[in-house]
Amino acid sequence: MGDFNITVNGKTVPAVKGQTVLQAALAAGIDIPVFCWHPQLVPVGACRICLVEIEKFPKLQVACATPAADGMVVMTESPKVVKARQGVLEFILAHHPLDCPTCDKGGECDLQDVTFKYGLDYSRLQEPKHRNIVDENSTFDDLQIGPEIIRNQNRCIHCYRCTRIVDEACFEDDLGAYQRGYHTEILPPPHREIRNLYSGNVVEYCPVGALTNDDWRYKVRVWLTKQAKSVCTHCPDGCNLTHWTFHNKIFRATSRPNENIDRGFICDIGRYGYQQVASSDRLKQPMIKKNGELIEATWEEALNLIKTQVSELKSKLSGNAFFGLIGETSTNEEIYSFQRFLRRVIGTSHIDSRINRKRRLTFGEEVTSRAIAPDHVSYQDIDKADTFVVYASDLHSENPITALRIKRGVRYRDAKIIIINSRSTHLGVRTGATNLLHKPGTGLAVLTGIVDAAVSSTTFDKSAVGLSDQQISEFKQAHTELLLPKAAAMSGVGESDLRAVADSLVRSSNVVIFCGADFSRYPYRDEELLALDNLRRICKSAKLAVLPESSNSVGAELLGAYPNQYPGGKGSDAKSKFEDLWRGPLPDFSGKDMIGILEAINEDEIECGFIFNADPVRVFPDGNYADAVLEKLKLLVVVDSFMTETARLADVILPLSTFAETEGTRTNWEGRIQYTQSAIKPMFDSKPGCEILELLADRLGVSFGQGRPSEVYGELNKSLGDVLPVRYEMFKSEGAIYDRPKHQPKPGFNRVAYNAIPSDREYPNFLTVGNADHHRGPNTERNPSLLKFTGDPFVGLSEIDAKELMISDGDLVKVESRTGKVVGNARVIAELPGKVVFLPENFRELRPNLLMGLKEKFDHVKVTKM
Amino acid sequence: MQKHVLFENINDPKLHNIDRAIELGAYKAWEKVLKSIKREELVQMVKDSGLRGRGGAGFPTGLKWSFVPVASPKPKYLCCNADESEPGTCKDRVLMECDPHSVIEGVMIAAFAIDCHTSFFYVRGEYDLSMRRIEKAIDEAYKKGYLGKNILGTGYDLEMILHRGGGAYICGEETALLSSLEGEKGLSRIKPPFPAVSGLYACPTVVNNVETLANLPRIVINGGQWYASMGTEKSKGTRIFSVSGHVKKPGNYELELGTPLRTLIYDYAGGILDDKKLKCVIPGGSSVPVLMPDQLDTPLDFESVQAAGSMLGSGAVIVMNEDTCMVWVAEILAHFYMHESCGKCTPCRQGTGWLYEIIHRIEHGQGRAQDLDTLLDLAKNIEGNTICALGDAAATPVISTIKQFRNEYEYHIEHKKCLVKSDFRLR
Repeated sequence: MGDFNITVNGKTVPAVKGQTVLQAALAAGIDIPVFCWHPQLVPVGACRICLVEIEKFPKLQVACATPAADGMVVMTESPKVVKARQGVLEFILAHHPLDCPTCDKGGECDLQDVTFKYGLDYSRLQEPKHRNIVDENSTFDDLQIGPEIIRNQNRCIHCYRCTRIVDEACFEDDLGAYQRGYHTEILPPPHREIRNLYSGNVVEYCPVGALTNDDWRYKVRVWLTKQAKSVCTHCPDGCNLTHWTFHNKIFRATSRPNENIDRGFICDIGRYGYQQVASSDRLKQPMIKKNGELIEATWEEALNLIKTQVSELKSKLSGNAFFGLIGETSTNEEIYSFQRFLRRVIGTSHIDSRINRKRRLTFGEEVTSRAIAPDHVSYQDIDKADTFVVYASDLHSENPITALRIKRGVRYRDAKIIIINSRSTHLGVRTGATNLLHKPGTGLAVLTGIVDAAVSSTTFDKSAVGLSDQQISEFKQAHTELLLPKAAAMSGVGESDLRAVADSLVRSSNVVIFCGADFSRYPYRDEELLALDNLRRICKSAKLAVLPESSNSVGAELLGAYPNQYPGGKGSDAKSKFEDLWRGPLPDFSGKDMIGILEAINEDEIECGFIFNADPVRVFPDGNYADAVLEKLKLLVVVDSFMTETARLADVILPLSTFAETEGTRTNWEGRIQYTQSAIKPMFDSKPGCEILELLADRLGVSFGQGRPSEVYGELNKSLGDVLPVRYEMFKSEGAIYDRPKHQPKPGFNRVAYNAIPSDREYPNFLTVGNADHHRGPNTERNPSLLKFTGDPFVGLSEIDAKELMISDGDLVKVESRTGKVVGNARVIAELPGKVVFLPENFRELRPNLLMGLKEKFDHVKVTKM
Repeated sequence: MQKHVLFENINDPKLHNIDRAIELGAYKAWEKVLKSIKREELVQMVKDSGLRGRGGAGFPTGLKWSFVPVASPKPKYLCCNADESEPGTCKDRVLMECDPHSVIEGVMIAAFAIDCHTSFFYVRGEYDLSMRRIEKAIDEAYKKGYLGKNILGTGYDLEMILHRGGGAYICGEETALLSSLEGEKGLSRIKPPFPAVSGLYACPTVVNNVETLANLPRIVINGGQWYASMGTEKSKGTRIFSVSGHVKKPGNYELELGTPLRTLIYDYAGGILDDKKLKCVIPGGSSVPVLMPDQLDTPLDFESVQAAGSMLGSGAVIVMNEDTCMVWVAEILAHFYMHESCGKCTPCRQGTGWLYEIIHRIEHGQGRAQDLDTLLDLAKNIEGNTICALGDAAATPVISTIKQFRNEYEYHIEHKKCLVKSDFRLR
């Protein structure tokens, strides 16, 4: 129980040291009204609605900020408290407009609720109500303060939750309280807008209707809606959402606070990312290609066509002439069903989900022989760490809530952030992060340089980290080209900076190393993993987390979406087990991965394929190649929710319901499996993935009898050894963590091989891809709210290059590589280093994968003004 | 009785120059502290002297220092609160303008007492001459080696940073002053944590008033017992009273604590202007309740004034004669507090404006019978329920004037004009 007890209204209540009176009372189910207090923010005691009487205190105290102490006697309903509370409410309401009938907050307004419960039913105000007039000619006092956010200052009760969320929790600076006294106004800084990635939270946590967003305004009354518990699918953070629906339409998404994950704050991508469900781009019914044109068909026609064609091909060819690709945003159930369908029904092992990588992810000899692997890291580890290393990741846009968790460490534990990247990222802004900005492709030199600086330092305590003199001298001999003066010169990072970082890493007691999306794209992935492991070894305690790319990448790996791997990561020795489970023969482990599949199609070894919820033409790094190769197939079945580039090549398209229309489970980057409800019924003529896969299997002669996700889940759980909750209803907020095998790395440093990047005279610039503001990956462009933040697709150029090429913002430029070219408007980005071209991967109009050659190790490009 | 401790050399026109100040004994105390007094002894000496904060609350200075965790690894800060803005108060101004070296010497001594090596001097924005005099004094002290590194060869370092405020009343409140010093908007902060534990930049901080600090060199030179020999049993030493309003000789008077109010007004300030009848006195700055003519014999010390139903506050004595309309006075004060409310907490932000609007209405003939009860109730809803004392300060004059002069308010509501013949020269 608690550390000590306090008495609230005569009831003994346990309290923990450091808890406030409010927290102890709320935990015991005693209601104390609050406006300004929020569990994730430092209490300010501004609204005064939580005043309580505490014995031995001469005045009433705010429960939100008064620390509970042993034996404290608190009264929350004494006459003095009731009088003060009514007084405060009267003050708040004095100038609050009575526009509840047209206010979007009506029905879920804290002020309404508290007034209903504790307030008076009259006002003594005789004076006219104050009004903050935005436009003399308008009766409304709404002011658009950001692309999505609208402010009505009249309704504001000055709780400062919004400004504190922006400042304290998000480390942003685009909202503040201006003026003084009752003139205090919530505004962005002059000539700016509130447009940070977390801006939607200020609307969600506004206790009144002062801040609203375009997304939800004037559309539906909140009490008419139903709520569905959902999990966000836009990144692997796994934030919990509530989808608010009415008449089978989603009207908004809000956070569903989960202490283990998001702690109540979500990013705008998750908040507005539901809009694509109702996108006009949705595939409404099955389509069949006739005479080179896709025409609408019925499910019956489409399924029959697949049946005849697949049967015909199967009679001629072996299972190895088929392949399947699945997108990593699918649910665990869909992934499981899909690989089962391919293995058992089609009889092929050519399955992959890693469609956007041109380098094979099979690890090299050094990595495997030394048993190097990432650690199992969780959000709780972030809360314990005092130093974070963020390597090759734009964490802010790739994993926004992980970034927020890190920032919390900076705010409350003085944790340090060290960013190692070849382009500057937003995480470094205002967080006091050390930014090691290196030349493209020289991350290895930075990492090895830091290790060298640490082991060369006279104060380095090698015994504390279990290193011997011999291991250190071996390290130095093995990396003569990457030691300090050379590492600094090669990477362009100052030697003193490397030494300072080494020093702070050695002194840290708990380090978490993150590497992100850019890491898996780098050509030296193996070597970088080895170098990161070396970095881990100079720290007293360090964990290495490799952040996956998509919301269910971990689930894809876990559930057999890779060519030669059964669910649960089981190898070929589990074949008979799965043959029993799936009641039929399975193919041998001779599956090809994404690159192998494309090669095989090119060489006419593979002739038919199933692509489920994936768009390889759009994301495979050599879009032209993927396009040309997939075109050669005799039969391509695409199951997707949207008309994608790949779907255009299909012979049959089956419309897939989106994440909001199907229940299921997803695995976030920690390996935490969470259940998500379906918010609405399948729209149009689409069907959920599990149902489609069951229909296909049934048509092709093998019925599993598992058309519903819950049925698939039962078998999935069985295949993993029944370690997950038995039924969906038994999932709790902490979800379920599937324990993956732990690796025991060998002692000593790894040998990191390094080859310098060849310079390319003809194509002098280096292409980097990433996310545009408010976008993540290729799946967010169908959300109108998110597009408001971004503007048009652009080609990011550094100031130096722009000057050299005499290009200014908005100029039309052509970006060429040996394999392709794209044309777009230039945008000069101040933070970009010279010779680097940045392309957002979020827009189909400007696809960076057209510039990437499958054979090219580096993406060299050339920019010309048009 | 008039006793010149702080005002000993105040009339010397060259006192603000360091050479003249040294001739008259400045920095002797600082040298003594650095060379021969231990930190604990100094704190004890000030505790013995009975010196209490001169900013308004009257908190014992030595005790305040002893709350600072000296062993803390964090830096400790001392802030001199020279944001003197309480209406009627001008005592710090005269000290800063005429005797700046005493003030900054006091800052140095207090800094030493809490083992602080960086001190801040927060001057009110409107105090231009004070600011320039203090700036010059700090410069001179640095040049003479009384500030900086290794002061007088003792190895003690002390920096002093002058900060000019933006002219907000609220920044005289210690937590708001700290917010302002940190570069933020001057909003008061919730306590606990108290500044002594987590103040400026979340480090242990002491905020002392100018007059309090100016006493320190004298206490160091003459000893705590000497200071304790002046004043009353619980209110030791002298105090500067800023007399303003309807008196013949307004100004700053340094008196021993415990001197009766009548002596101050009639003997030193020359009595009521035009020899009119006294109506009431605000004895400690605009935020305290009024004293009536029958309370004139109240001794001016913390306890006696409190017993009389008011507070000694900042020592600003505002005298009003019989021609003063108290509704008008209340309106002016309510307007001031409405204007100066920082807006952070609800009762003060909304309440001060509401009080002003009602009083304004009454003063301008729009009053209603139930307004007085509303006023009193609103004031009580503000009082004690706010983060800092500004809410209380706004509520007190309203409560106090209604209590003492309810008839004037009622006359205003009924007849839509003032009961008294107002003094139009002042209006």
